[in-house]
This record gives sequence, structure tokens and C-alpha cells, in this order.
Amino acid sequence: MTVSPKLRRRMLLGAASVCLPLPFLEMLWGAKAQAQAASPQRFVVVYAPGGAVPELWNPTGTGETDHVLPSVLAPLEPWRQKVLITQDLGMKVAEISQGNAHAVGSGAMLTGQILQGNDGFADGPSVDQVIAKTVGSATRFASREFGVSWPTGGGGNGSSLNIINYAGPAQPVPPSVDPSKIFREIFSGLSTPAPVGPDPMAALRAQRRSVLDRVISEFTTFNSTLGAGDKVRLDAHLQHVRDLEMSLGGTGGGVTTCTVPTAPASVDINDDNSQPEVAKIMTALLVMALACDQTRVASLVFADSIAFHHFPFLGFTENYHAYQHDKGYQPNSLAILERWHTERLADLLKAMEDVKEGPVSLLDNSVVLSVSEISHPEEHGTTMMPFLLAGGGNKLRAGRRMLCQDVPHNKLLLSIANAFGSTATTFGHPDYNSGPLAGVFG
Amino acid sequence: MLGPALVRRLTRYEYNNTVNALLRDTTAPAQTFPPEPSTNGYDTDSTASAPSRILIDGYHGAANGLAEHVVTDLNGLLGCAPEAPGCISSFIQGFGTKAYRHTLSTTEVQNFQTFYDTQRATFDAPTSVRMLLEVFLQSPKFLYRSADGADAFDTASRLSYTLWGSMPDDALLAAARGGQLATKAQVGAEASRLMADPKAKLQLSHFQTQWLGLDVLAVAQRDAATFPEFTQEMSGFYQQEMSAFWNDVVWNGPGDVKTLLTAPYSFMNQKLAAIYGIAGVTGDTFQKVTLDPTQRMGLLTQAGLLVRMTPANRSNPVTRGKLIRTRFMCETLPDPPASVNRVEPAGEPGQTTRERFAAHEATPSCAACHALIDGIGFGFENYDAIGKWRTTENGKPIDASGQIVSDTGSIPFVGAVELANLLATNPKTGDCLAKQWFTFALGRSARPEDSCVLKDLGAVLSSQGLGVRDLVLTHATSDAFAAPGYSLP
Repeated sequence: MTVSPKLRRRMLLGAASVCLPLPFLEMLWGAKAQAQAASPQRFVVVYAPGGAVPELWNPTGTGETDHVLPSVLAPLEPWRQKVLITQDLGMKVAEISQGNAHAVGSGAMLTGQILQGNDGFADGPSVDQVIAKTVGSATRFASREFGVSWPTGGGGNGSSLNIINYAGPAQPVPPSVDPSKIFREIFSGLSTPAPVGPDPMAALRAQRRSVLDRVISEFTTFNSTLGAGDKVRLDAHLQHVRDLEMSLGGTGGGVTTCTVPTAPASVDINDDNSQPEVAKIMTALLVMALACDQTRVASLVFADSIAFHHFPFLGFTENYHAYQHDKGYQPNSLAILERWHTERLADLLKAMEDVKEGPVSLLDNSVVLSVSEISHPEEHGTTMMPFLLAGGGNKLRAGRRMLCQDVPHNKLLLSIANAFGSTATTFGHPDYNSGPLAGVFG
Repeated sequence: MLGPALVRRLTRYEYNNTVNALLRDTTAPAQTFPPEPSTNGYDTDSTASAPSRILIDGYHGAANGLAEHVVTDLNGLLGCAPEAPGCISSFIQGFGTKAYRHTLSTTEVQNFQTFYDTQRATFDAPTSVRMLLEVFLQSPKFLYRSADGADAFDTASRLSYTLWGSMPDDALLAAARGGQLATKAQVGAEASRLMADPKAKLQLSHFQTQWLGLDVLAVAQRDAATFPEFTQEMSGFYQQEMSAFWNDVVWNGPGDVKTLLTAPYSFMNQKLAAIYGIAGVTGDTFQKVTLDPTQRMGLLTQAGLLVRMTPANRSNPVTRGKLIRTRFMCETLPDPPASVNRVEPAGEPGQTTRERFAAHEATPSCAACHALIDGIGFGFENYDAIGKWRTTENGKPIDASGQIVSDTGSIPFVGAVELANLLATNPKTGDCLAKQWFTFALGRSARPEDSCVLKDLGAVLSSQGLGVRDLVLTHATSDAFAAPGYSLP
């Protein structure tokens, strides 16, 4: 349904917030949380094409923290406290940009800019590259872009349908797609650094593991009558306790954040059935590139915007674009495909959370921005953009949902750039660059 | 939704109360846990989701912090020297009974003793006791309680968590152990004892906060230029007024629906009285104040509820109507289609709220649902976004006429005072309040098979001279409170 512009006025919600502190993981490490600034702060873009079925993406509820995540976002429920949903952002600049709607969106979402001419490249740098310019000199690579299924249509590096990252006006930065090559480029010659000194917390962590071991046994004698729902909940609880015990480590060594990965197994990146495997490899390489401080800016590009790839492993016969609108809008099928991408996002968050950096995690030292080039898949929507942030870097105020009242998404891009040290006061197209978005960082 | 819960995880509120009762903790560590997801507005909704890793990390951090703190006075905690014969064993039994809310089995005691002895072989006594406590505080037997168990200890927990939002005290556990919770009369006697404790007052207040969603007041914001009097301090006063009124009606007064909705008085201090336009109230102390009966009566017209029902700087018939429909009439309203979610008619400059929202009526896809919602919400037009009385908006006179639309026709009314009178004289309002308590207390939404029980509970509030406290006590001795399939004699 299209909303007439006259009605497009968002209810103002109390903009203040109860910003819940993160659970105090410092108890795990027996140390007070170090100043966040001590660890490098990272920025990660995650892009999945095709927008989102609005009913199944946009959280319901009216409050800042009591929002309910519909099915497409449900895989993020465990990460709720580390996710900030910037609901109802508008991508205004796409409405004045000329070209294929997917190209327009791909160009606009990270640059806040129009395409040059009709279907040309975006007319400005993307936020990740702006940040790379600010923080990139500290590491071997200013940024790294990882592609999973890319490109699925024609045009390669020359088509704005395929590009989301821009170093400047009409300066595309295409993703790398060969896992072995990426591995060689980033990790060849590196070795996992030795733990820094003996682990002063080893004894405490050993105690914590003994305790959790005993807690796990308690589950076996918790023999109340359980319903089916109870079993699901308690199983989840138990699994988290097991994971927690695991995360306390068994080696007794010191704390290492960087573990140089082994070379990825050979995989046919042109086979759509390989997507889960490629996604897994790229996620692992990306996370370790950050953990080993080879770069502080990364993008995970699941595909290009035309999305002509298939998902046979999910039982779908047509290409992704077909379900968006090529063969009629099919929201139920799309929801499954979109949810698959959300699950991969959750995988990324988990991998980042599992890298401990002192009292917090790599995820806590990162800002992850998840975007798509359109909103409503059938209408190539430019309102209610399915954008969200995750992590805790630069004091990201996660654990919330903001209702952004259709303000231009340029404001969000500016806020992110500013959080990483950019002194810019505007971002992107001059018509839509009215200052930062309050409430994102704090 | 994962199906009904036969075991219920402690809510953050219950967790804090429990560690306060168990360990005299006053730091409320559960404040750092993620908020309870809820499908019905109550934090007790234990069906809404599985626990997250962040919650489990929260339990871990809280257990470690609490344990570390209490072992600093080890002998005080144990009541004996740790090396004294039998000291640890009796601590395990005593503390375990409280933490698990049932008498520990021989095996349970033995398991803990073995765990302690194993640790003690490597670590000192304070460390070993600390680890013991960490196990107790992360065990499912501590974090969950049986919701439907027929055991006397389950009944004891059900009583204390429903009436106190906290663990059973020693007397209640003793009653369970001694077989003194076997009849409705015995349960009723314990329920009455619990209701006489200040913890019951806090728990009913907690219920009120969730029933009406008053948490929002703590974070409500208004444009400072338009509403300079709306300060952070004021949002505290709004909450205080609603709490003071509720406590007065429920605990000092009849506690009935009629009084809650039509009482001609409220409680306020000088700054709050200014919002009401009431002169003669001075200072920060709250006092009982008589209201102008043409403008205000009961809960519905309290400034706090009006702020709660208004999301921003302008009055909003949708959010106001919705709250009345869902929380006072117990109706379920569908969410708007996501593609038009949270769209407020922009209107033209100078229009009144009523004129702006006429767009709903004029748009066929909006009209049907919004007649139900806005029809009631328009009745609140005499109150602005901070709960002040007004007779004009943008220079135009206020039209506060509304209607309660239903299947059987519509009832016209003018203003919230008349609406309050209509609701107060409709027995369905009492049925709804009873259903709200039921939903909160049982931790789940009502099901079709609950209709008989709900009828009985609703009847309490329709009875002359009975109120909310009677509702709570009646529920505690009803078959809905006992385990399914069990009926206490």
C-alpha cells in the first residue's frame, strides 16, 4: 500500500531513552571494564539485496525497548541488547536519483548520494570509505570488502547495480570474492600472536567453569513436569550455559583475540548451493581480519542488487529477484530468503562476540550497519528502510528501537561517520544532509 | 510464542526481590538483564520467548557479583565456622531450601557437599562457599519456579510470587513443609497473611504500573518550548500521583472499580497541582486534593495517565482510544498494516487534532478500525499532551464528543468524565480488570477454557463492597490458582 505524502507524518515518540547497560561481563574476567577507547573501534557493513517484506521486518509495538521482532528479524532476538533498529528511515535521495531502482538504491544507501547521470556510479564516497580514510592508516588494509554471491548479473565492476562501496564520486570499490585469494592476501605470513603473559585470571576462569559444570548437572535433576514450550526454553537456556562455559576457555593460556585462520577449503563460488559455505568462510575471514587488526573497516556483500542467484538449498526454484517482483511479489517466499540473511547476520554477530577483547568482545568494539538497497520489495520502496545497527562500538546505544519518522538516512550516515572521528557536518547529497541523527551514539 | 509455561522464569522484578530476601541484596542486579519480551503487556508473560545468551550472561554476572559480596562475611552467612563439623552441610540444607524454595532431597544435599569438598581440596573456604553460591544462583531450580505443580512447595511459591513478587518467607515454607497448604482455607489464611505485608502493596503497585504501562512516564519527553513545565522531575510526580491514588483506593478505600474510575479526589503537590490548575497546594509533599467534577474524576483523567496515553506533543485520539480499548475493555486490536504503521495524519496548519484525525474517517481502509479507537479517544480532547485541561485548540473550541462503538451499536458521550461514568457502571469493566490480574498472575493470556474462572473473578468486582484486594484473595483460593486437575478441598 502506498501512503499518500499527506499522511506521512510519523508520530513522535518520546525520544529519550532508558539505555540499559550491557551485562557486566567484566565479572567473567575479574577486571573492571577498560575504557572502550583502549581497543580499536571497527566498522562493518552488511548488505543483503532485495529489501524486506515490511510486515515481517518492521518491529511492532510502540516503545523503545518493548518492540517485538517479526519473523524476518527473529534470528536477532538473542542479540536484542546489542542491536539498534533505526526503523522508518527514509532514503530520500533515491527518489531524485535516475536509473534502475536497484542501482539507485545500491548507490544511495551508503553514500547518501544520487547516481551520476542515468544508472551511472554514485556521486560521492560511501560511509565505510569515509571511515576508512579516518582510521585506515593504522592498519595494513584501510578496508576490506568480502563478497558471497557476486556478481549475479552482468556488468561486473562497471555496473552500478553491483557496487555499494565508493572511495569517492564514481570510484567503485568492488568486493573480493575468492576465499583463497583473500586468505592469502590478509593472512599469509601472519601467525597467531602468543598470549600476552600468563593469564592472571586463569584460576578464576577455571573456578567459573567448575561452577557452570555443576549448574549443567542441575538441569538433569530439574525434573518438574515440562511442557513442550518449557523444553524449548530450558534447552536454549542450557545451551547458552554450555556456550558460556566453553567461552571461558580450557587452555589456561593468556588472552588472545587474534587466531590466524587456516586456509579455507576449496569451494565452487559459482555454485549457488555453495552460498552457505562461502558465507561461513567470508564471515570467518572478515572477523579475523578485524580481530588480528589487519583492517578496521569491512563490508560483507551477500550479492549484488539485481540478485539473479538461486537458493536451491532452501528449496526455491526461481532466482531471488523473481520473488521480489520479476514473477510477482511473493512475500512468504521472500520472508524465508530474507530470514536466511538475518541468520547469517546473527552468525557474524556471534563470531564477533566470541572474540574476547579484554573485558568485552570484538562486537562490543564494533559498529555493524546492516542495509538493503530498497525497502518494499515489490515497490522498490524508499521509505521505512530496513536498516539496523549492531554492536557496541563508539558508545552505540544498542538494545533499542528508534522510530525515525521518515527522516533522510543521510543523517544516520553522518552520525556513524562522526562516531568514527569524521568532523564532517553534512553527508551526501546537499538536499538531504541536515545534520546527524540524535540518539544513535551516546 | 512457544506454548504455555509449566515452569516460569523469574522476572527481573522477581529476581531482584528474591535476591533481596535471600541475600539482603539492594543493588537490584537484574536491572542489567534484558527486558522481558511480552505479548500481553506484562513482564510475567513467560511464553513469549526463550532465554537469550545475554540473559544467561546476566545471570552469570549477577551470581558472581552477589556471591563475591556475601562471602565477605563468611561466618555471618554460614552461621558457623566453615571448618566446624556439619557447618557446610547445614548451610546447604538451610540456604538451599530458601534458594530452591523446597526442602532439598538427600541426593541434592550430597551433590552440593561433594561439590564443596572437591573445591575445598584446591581452594580456601571462602572461595569454595562462593562457588557453592554461584551454583545455587545459576541453577534452573533457583531461576525457574513451577507454575502448575501440585506440590505444597509449588503452592507456596505460587502464593509468594503472585502476592509479593518474591520468594516465600520462612513461615510460608514451614507451612508447606508441615502440610498446612492442603485446603483452600489454609491457602486462604496464608494469602491473607501475605496480603498484610508491605510487600503485597508493592506487588499490586507493580501490577498497576504494568496494567497501565506507566513505565513509559519515566522516559516521556515533551518539547521544552511548548511545555516548559514538563521536566524530568515532573514525570516522577506524575508517577507518584498515580501510585498514591491507587494505593489509597486499593488499601485504604473500597478498592472497587467505581472508586478507581470516579473518585472525586487525587493526590498532588504544588507543581502537579499547577498542571491541574488547582490553587492552594503548596510544597513538594503530596496531599489529598478534591477535583473539579466537571473536569476530572478517577484514573482516566489523571495527568499521568493522559501523558502515558499521549506519545508526543499533541493530543492523540488513537493512542488514547487504544489504551482504553485494550486495558479497560480488554479488547484486542489488530496492529495497523505495517505499510501504514504509525502514520499520524499530518493535517494542515491551524487544524485541531480532531480535524486532523478526520482523515481516518475519510480513508476507507482506516475508517472501520479507527471508529472503534478514535471514537473513544476523541473524548479526551479536553486534555493536552501533558494532561492539562483545555477548552480551545488553535483558537477553536474543543469538541470532546465521542462514542463507544460496538457490535450492538454505539453509545455517545461527551468528555472523559462521562466516559469514566459509563465504564464505571458497566460490569464488563470489572470483568476486564479481573482478566488483567489473571493475565498478570498466571503469566499467560486467558484462554477460552478460562471463561468460568474469569466470570467468578469478575463477579467479585461487581459485588457491593468488594475490591481489588478481594479479587486477589479470591483468585488465590480459586481452582485457577491451584494446579490444573487439582482442586483443593
